[in-house]
Amino acid sequence: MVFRSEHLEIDRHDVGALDSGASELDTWFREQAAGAEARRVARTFVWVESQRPDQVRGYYTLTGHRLVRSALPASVGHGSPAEIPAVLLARLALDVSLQGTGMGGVLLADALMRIVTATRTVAARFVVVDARDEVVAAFYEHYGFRRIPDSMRLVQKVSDIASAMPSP
Amino acid sequence: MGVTSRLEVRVHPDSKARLERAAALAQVPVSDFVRSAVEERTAQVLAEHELRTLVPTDFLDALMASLDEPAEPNAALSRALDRARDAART
Repeated sequence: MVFRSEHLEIDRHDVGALDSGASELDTWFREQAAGAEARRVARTFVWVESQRPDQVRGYYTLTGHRLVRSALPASVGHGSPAEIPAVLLARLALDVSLQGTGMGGVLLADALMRIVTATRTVAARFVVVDARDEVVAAFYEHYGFRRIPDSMRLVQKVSDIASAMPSP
Repeated sequence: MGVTSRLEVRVHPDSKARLERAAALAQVPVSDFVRSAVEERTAQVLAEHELRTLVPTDFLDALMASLDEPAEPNAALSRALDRARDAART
């Protein structure tokens, strides 16, 4: 099955049809994705089927992000930075009808391709992902993300992701 | 969706008197006042959470050091990226 991956357009995409099995992700998509677009705080991309271009089967949300040192040790000072620029994959949701087919990984890959392209224009060194629970965390670990200690977030270097991309 | 779920919290009597006074000044019922204040703070914390991730200092240093290491592709990600090229058209 082939999908079109496109920027969310609220006039054209039916935001009510998605059932990802995670109600908070469906609710955010239905009620807040359009507002986040309008305020330019998050970019949302959707997957639609070529035959049914209004039918959203998955989505993800990207925002600019920073990894911030939680506390400066007393000895610090000499040039070690307190922050690293990153991109946050804040949400990733796939319709239940497509789950269990490896398409979650493909949707993730689609998001990461967009991020790698974006970092050619705006520098960011890491991709950060948000895991709701252990199952989601294990999903991201499978695709090369490392856990941030004491956090439900994981990270991967942009250069590692770029190196996994097929040559054009 | 209507406001149907119930949330109860205990507060200090002085604190309750203060917020009743504040609600009166704002000319809204106490429950409306509390609800909107909590929702505002919630939105603020969630927005902040989207902007930055706090990282333990040792881990941040390890991340910085890893930037000098050669890139290592993850095999599962390579396969998924390969599939994405065919399955998702931009």
